[in-house]
Amino acid sequence: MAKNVQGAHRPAASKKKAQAQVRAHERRTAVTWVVIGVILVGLFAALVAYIVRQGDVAELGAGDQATPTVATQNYGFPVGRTGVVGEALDDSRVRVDIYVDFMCPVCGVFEQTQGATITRLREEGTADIYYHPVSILDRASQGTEYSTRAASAAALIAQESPAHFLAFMEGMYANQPEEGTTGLSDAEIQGIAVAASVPQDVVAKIPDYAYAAWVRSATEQASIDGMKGTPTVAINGVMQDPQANPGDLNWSQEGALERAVRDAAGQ
Amino acid sequence: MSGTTPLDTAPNQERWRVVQPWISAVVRLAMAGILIAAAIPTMLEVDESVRAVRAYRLLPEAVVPFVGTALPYVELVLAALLILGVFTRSTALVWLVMTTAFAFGMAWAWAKGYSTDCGCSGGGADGAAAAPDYLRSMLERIGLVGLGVFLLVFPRTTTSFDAWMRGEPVVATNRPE
Repeated sequence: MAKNVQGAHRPAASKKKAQAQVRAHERRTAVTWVVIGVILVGLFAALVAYIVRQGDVAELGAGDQATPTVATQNYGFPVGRTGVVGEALDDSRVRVDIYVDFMCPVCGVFEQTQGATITRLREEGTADIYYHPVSILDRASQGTEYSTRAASAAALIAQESPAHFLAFMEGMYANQPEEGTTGLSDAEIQGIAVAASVPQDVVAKIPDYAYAAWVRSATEQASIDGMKGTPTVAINGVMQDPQANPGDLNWSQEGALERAVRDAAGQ
Repeated sequence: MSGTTPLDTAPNQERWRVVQPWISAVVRLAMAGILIAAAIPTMLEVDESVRAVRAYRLLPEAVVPFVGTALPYVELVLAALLILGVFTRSTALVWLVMTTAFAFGMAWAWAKGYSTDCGCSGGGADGAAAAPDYLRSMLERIGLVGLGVFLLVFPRTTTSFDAWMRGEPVVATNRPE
């Protein structure tokens, strides 16, 4: 009531108020359009980022990229009794897939504690081992993308010098850098390859990162296949995740890996 | 009680009326800061963001890469709206939907025993030391939900474009309405 009476007695004020309301309405409309614009720009940027990512190769993969033909469909390097990638494989043996990141300290522990068991199971013909070098820890090397560089080098050696792949992996773990440092330089990785008897012409190709894009695809596929961290072991194609499934293999328990593989082999 | 000034009747209410827009402004800017801090590393490591979204196992694989890629951009848009202070109540609502979705995803992963940590702790690593710290993350996420609830209930803040839209000074003067 009071408002109306006031308004009636002071038409100028009422008009002023109406004008203010119109202006407020205009401002609201303008701001709404700005907000819609901001949202559209954000959506557009997201779409562009998505499309770029789909067609993207790894950042390191600026040069010519290659796919290692020795790798399996699920991006593993199979190693049979002889210890040479792609040789002496037998589907009747237990298949053990091992997902590793060269930067991951627990992968180093895995190699130290389980390496001998895995070699024994492989050499006696109980299991073929499929190695998956992936790169989930690129952020942990101060921008040098050590995980991708190291995995790319491993793929190169698996493809072009398959007899020295295992020795190279071993050397990489023996000289494993601490997580969060810049990692090993390309020259240091080359030194490890030389020590593993990789031929000089192959060693020279390590800094080309020709398999960087492949490593990225391998990592994506591993994640789709259910790898949630490294190291992860899959037995006959089944990812072992003891945190989710208490019945799964927990390799950190003494003798568990050997038992699981022998169980799978029916021994 | 007749004839008393508002200050006499409810001094605490009056104080709250003065203080609340400032608290809300701090909450609003804190939320924007949290969003930007969350968005930048995800934009730089898109693959990791995609893997993290995938690890929750809530979305079908067909949409996982897009959600993982788009998430930081959605966060930045929301941060921009919060910094400007436009449609504060609505943005608080979007924030709430997002943070409760995260809290729900976390609880889901927790219940299922999924490791959503993409680092070295997953897989077969020794359980106790490597188990992701779900409880702490859960408390963090509840805190994020709390910020959103506060802004939803008290969306009026100092220095907002919401005020400008209504024709009030951009810096609120807290005069009674």
